[in-house]
Amino acid sequence: MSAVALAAAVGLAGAVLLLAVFLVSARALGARRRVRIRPLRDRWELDLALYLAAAEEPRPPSTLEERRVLRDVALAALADLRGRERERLTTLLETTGIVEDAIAELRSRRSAVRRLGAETLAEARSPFGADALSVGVRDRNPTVAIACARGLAELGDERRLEPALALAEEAAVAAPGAAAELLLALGTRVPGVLPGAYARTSAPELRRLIAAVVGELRLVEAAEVLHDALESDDDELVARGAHGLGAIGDADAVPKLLELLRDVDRPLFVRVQAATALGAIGDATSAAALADALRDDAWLLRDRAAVALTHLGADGRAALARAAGDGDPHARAVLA
Amino acid sequence: MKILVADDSSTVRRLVAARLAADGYEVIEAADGEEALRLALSEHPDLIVLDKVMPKLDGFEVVRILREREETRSLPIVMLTERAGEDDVLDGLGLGVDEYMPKPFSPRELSLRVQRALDRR
Repeated sequence: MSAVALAAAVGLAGAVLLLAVFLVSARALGARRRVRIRPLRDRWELDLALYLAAAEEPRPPSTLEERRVLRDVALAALADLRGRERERLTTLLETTGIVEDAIAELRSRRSAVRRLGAETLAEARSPFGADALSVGVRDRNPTVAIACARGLAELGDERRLEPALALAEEAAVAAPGAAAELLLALGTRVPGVLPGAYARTSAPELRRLIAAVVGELRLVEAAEVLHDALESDDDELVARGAHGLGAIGDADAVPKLLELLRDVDRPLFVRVQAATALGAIGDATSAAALADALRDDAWLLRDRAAVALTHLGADGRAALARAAGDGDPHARAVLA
Repeated sequence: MKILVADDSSTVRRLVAARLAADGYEVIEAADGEEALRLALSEHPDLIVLDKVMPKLDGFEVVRILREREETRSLPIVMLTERAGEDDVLDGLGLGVDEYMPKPFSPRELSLRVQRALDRR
């Protein structure tokens, strides 16, 4: 082995050893911190529970570590709470300076710290964080910007949502998962803004995400989005519209869904989604078209049509029984 | 009256336990499904507040076992869970869950539902 190769091998072994020492040290430090803060965590879990249940004011945190533990425990509790107790916990975070800490974190040079600040403000839903979040939506780091937009969505103040919606449109292409999370927050907190955002955008990616969110959250008040989606040339959007209307159980959609089911020029996934939605809506007038679909060439459509017929009451069961009598395997399987 | 609170989140357990203790109940706690089952059979609680997703034994599995046993067949169970889609609720009610509460939850509402489940006994 040449001297150069030997030096490279020794260098590599040294680097591996250093990395191993670093990882072991980091794990040991992490374990020690967990052991150290365990009693603090126990204390704050108990103090917060008593504060919310019995209005016992907790002693304010006296060290930086205590503030961090209080923030961790409070964020975990906020995620599981709603109603007056949630509001009281937000007030506690404001009076103990934790909301102020999070606002300061949004000015940090480190993106991870800015993101933590944005996520804390989003969970806390404190109106004191609104100005900082409005600035943060324009953060150079897209992850931080999305976290700030989600914070604004959680606050539910419609006057401040325009930049958050613009960001959702950008993210729908570049980071659809993050955009979906933001739209879910909007749909949960301020569902009324989704139809407007859908109407204003021409981006198919954003329209699809909005239709999916309206359907998943069953936002009856935004059902116009789904009806509009059924009229689109974008088959993916049509399918999401059908799925959502089925989830909502919107009987007004039945004529259009029947048209989609019968349209052999449509892709299979659209017709399958229409059949499933007709079953979910459960309107007996769909029975004849679904019975016809039992004779379609595509087994998936036959199968979904058979299942949908089971949801249509006596008319559906009669259609299934006739098909089973004619030897239809899907009808037989479903009836069995 | 004694209430068993079973949830793998210590934060949620303490929130629920403090609320119920403030209402005057004696509260015992379990951090997983196996412990919940053991305490339900040994401590004879008057009601259980049960999480659906727990380590060792799923909340639904705990309900199923309790409903199979004569001594716990009519024990009131309030299910408190983040998974509360229509199918989950129907499955839970089908197994014999008395009340279903989705997370995020209001401790004051939970308190009323516990009272209602106990009154129906």
